[in-house]
Amino acid sequence: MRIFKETHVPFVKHNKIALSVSGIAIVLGLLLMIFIRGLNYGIDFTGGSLFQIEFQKSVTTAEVRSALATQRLQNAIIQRSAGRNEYMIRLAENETSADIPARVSAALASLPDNPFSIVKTEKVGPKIGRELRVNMVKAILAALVVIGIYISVRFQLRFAVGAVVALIHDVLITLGLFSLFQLEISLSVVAAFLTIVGYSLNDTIVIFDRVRENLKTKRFDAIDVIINTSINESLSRTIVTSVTTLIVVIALAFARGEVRIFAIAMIIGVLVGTYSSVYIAGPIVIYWQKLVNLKTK
Amino acid sequence: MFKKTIVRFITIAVAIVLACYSLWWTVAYNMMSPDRKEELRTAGRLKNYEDRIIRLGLDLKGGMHVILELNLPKLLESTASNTDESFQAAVRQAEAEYIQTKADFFDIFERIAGEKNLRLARYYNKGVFKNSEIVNQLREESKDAIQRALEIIRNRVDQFGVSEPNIQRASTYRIIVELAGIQDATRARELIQSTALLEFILVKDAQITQAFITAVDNYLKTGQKEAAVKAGLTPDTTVTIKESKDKAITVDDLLGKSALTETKPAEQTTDSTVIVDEQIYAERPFSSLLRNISGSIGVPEQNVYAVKKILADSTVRRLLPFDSRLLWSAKPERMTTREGATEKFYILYHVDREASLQGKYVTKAQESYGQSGSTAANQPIVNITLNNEGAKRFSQVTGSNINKRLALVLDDKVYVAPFIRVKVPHGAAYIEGLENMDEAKGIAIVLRAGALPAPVDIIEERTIGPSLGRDSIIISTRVGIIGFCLVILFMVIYYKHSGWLANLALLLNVIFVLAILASLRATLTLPGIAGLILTVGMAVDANVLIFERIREELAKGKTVRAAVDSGYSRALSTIIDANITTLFTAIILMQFGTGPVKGFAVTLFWGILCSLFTAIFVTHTIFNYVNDRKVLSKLSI
Repeated sequence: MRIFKETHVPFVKHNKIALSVSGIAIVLGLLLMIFIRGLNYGIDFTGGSLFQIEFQKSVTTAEVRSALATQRLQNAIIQRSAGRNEYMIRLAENETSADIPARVSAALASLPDNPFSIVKTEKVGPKIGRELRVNMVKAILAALVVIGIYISVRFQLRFAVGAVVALIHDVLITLGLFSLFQLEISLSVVAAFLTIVGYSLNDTIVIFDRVRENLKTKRFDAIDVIINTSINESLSRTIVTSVTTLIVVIALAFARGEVRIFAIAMIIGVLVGTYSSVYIAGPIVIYWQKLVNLKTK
Repeated sequence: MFKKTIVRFITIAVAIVLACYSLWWTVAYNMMSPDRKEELRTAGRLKNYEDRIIRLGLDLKGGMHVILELNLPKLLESTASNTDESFQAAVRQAEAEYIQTKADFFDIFERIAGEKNLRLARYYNKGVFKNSEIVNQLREESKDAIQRALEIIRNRVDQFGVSEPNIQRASTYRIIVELAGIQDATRARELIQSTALLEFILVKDAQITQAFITAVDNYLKTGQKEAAVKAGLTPDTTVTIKESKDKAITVDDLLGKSALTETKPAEQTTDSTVIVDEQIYAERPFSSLLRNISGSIGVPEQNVYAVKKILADSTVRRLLPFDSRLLWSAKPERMTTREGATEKFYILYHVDREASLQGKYVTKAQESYGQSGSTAANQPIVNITLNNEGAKRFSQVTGSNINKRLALVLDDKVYVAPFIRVKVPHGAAYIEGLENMDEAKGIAIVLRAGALPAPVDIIEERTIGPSLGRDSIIISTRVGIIGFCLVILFMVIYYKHSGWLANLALLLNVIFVLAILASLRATLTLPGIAGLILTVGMAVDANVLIFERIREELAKGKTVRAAVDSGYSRALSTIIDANITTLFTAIILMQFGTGPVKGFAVTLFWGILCSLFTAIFVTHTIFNYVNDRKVLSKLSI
């Protein structure tokens, strides 16, 4: 089977539209993150405690909350797992004192005739939370720097610029969507972000590799023509790999808990990453080239 | 050409055989019935399996993960000889700042003390007067405190019966404790945080102990069959039975009179190379599991479980003199057998029920070298200083028990049991006969642990119930298989026969990654499984790149053979560039990641490497083989 025989889509021609769409999306995302909704950090990063409780009989969120109120824990964030008698109870940073687990148990025991079991608890102190947050930022920055250096050595500086801009684009857009849907950012999500970085880069490099090859064979073509040809030549591979990766991450999204959120991050990432390697990375190389040419003139 | 292909096939076959062998242990272990496991455990052989299987992380098997941090402000306050409001205010301020920054607590404290013109010499009698000097001493003391805490926790942790507890220093003032299968988090928390109990207990006379051992032997022999079944020891399953070259294990030998004259047990070699001798076993079911290590009861590591099982028997417990109890040594002794092999022994001590002296009387314990002229000249020793009350009691105890052994016991574990040589009148004693300075240091830490509590806080705690872990395994396996099948289907539809080749590579990839995880003794976590599933999706990428190239080359009108060759060679640099960068991200994740994230990074890392091998080497070999056999005019791709 073959989806694409030989394509001649003028991807580069639409780069102004693509760049402005992405630019607007990033700005909106940043506004959302900084001024409006913020990011929904999990307790890994804020500190606090979390309890996953399984009840034997069904119970409403309001009932759980009023039960928690008996121990003055009504400020908890209470989340029900879809289709199950299972709740996630999250308590804020200043409530990490040692007696919290006992208080939660006592509060829930006040629900009449409904035995429960605590299937998971997590408690993260504020100092650890801060450290994990710092480490997360460090990891992402380190990844970007290392990747940038590698590409400048293996390719050229202009390609490194294109690749790194595309990666920052992917992370910012994914973060924006996380802010929009208020998805929780946990340690696994950070792992997902880094995987997205790796994946999107994979796509970008495959295209750049073609560009490098075509630069040798088609010396007289302009850079934008070469980039466009290269994107078209790699298009079939780009789509096939995205499809197989999407198949597994969509399957993963049917799991529960952290893996599910990880999978959601990956789905967004694969889509955005594929888009950015086709529409963002190439054009950035072209614009960077024009900028450099202007300066040297 | 053909020969080269053969060599390649052999390489692949060897890799597959190795991978299957590595995974065989995991499969065998999981298929084993609980009875069989118990049998192997009693015989000391289950560890062979447990060392080789894929280990599951806490999130998959349930358990508890705790990070402890030394409470430095508390330590400052408790070690100060007196405090006042301005001192406490400085400590509080330093504490508040410490939580907000990454700076060292003592640096912050010193700076704040300077800003407030606080003279620390007013609060600490340390013989030095400058703030900076006092702070340096405090810093050293807190390093010692975290050592004590670590020792206490290590010592206690097998009270939980956890198979592979993981306890390690995480940073200067932090300890990670991971306990698999723990359900009662409250109890675990108490055990980790409660103060340690240090005691000095007299060891029972050898005759009394020997009488007990003989009684146990007789009881087990008379009730041989029942007892053997109860203990899980039936003669034909008692393994490691070798022909005995040395039949010298007799009951008399086990605890001979030599007990009172031996001084340095470590220099002795053990008198047996046999773990269980069949005949002796039938005669003396209990003592045949034990060894005489210069007057102490040594238990070879693989017999420990069986011995503990016998000792837990209710009748056996009644045979033990009521004023005594049995305690295990905290650490195993390494002994060289006559054959020159090293074996690990735990020592079983028969001691008084009541302690002769509490450890809280210890005011100082310091390792050092013996003075010249003494019996321990230039040998490592530990000096002990007791306070007035302790000195009085110690004088009584030592005076009336000369030439008996006094065990140093921390939380029911014996660290050392030296002989009392002389009466110690003024509360200043030393322990000699230690192997090296490290042992002396370790014992000094234990001695301090009883008197100087190390306040630790739980700063991170995660518990996962066993049912959640089981659910996670089931769901993620199911999801993984579905994803895997869909990818296989897609590849076959898209690349026809060549698709099967990519699928073979995919399958091998999963097998290789799991085999590597098993042989590296890496831990599989839930994110790790996610990583594995993800590599399934990404592993086909290398083959996709190659197949697309081959299609292009075929479209240019090349022959099948030429198209395959140039497809592989031209895709190679792309594949390597693309995968090396992902490899970088995996390495960075391993560096910065904690716990579960690290598990993800590890599978991702090996997944990439294996997919490089399967795509570049395995599928290429098969293509070559097909091409070698006959000239294809058309390729199913």
